[in-house]
Amino acid sequence: MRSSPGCSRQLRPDRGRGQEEPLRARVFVTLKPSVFDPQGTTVAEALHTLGYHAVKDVRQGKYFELDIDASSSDEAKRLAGEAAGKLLANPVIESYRIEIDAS
Amino acid sequence: MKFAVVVFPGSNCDHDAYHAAKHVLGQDAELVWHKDADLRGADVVILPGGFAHGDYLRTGAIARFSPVMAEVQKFAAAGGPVLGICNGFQILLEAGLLPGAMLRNNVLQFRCEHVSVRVEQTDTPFTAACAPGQVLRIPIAHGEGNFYAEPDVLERLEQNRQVIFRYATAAGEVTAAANPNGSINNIAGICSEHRNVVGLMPHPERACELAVGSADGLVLFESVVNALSQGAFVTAR
Repeated sequence: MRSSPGCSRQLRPDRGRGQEEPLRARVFVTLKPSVFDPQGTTVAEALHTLGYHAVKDVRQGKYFELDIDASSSDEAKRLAGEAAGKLLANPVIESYRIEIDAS
Repeated sequence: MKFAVVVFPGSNCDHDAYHAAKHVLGQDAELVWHKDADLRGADVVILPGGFAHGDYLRTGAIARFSPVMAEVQKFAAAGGPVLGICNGFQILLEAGLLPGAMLRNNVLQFRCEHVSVRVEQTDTPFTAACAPGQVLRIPIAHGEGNFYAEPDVLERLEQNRQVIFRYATAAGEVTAAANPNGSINNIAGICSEHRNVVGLMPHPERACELAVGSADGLVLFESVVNALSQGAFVTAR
């Protein structure tokens, strides 16, 4: 749960970085290249109908923003990786990539 | 004999499965809420069709973490017969009780129609009363039934005779035209390595009485009743 406005966190700059503002992890889940993507193909066809013939292929994926209480970017990345491996992505058909926003 | 039908938030074929077991077959049956970590001493577990947790994230992805699933895992590991129908099949895949994954139908339509399904193997608790090659006319209703497995997994499935049902013509011919969703090798249903866990996309529980257009699905439920009464697939409790 978020701290209420005006709480003491801004007055205590000596605390660890992650204990104040959560770090944002961005998780990109995409179908593995070997897996057919009927949705992406249909989106590509729609774009062609609209005249965007330069768009040769579309692959549709999922994007998640996780706000994580962590003391470092490495810890946030590790936690996001666990979340992606266990839940956000299905390793049979999908792979994932994680970015942590610069603090 | 007792059937446990697991109810997830969003299940919508739970009562069909319950009706098939309880009223058509005359067996004991109980609906089990997904948060109850107790299968009530059931001899057979059914994960029914529907849209557990709204199909959010991926079909079955959230349901696999329901408390009841740890019990289903134990039940399956002890050799108990588990049947996953449609969304139940998707949950079994996500839970790792069956190999592979589901993709969206290659036709991008929600397919809701009666199809013909050929029984490939009869040495599972849910096909033991079928004739080899028997063709069942049962309905499908899904948007994400395009079965996929990596090449090595697929090869193992075929080698171990774990493909139990294939989409086919009414005459039992496995053709591309008979495949409603793009499933690899026309796969409509598979079983686990130990053969006691079976998942299929078609809905046998919706085809248990002629009044609803077909009674071809009943044989799956009769199979498990026969198998258990003959002492097969009984879990040690």
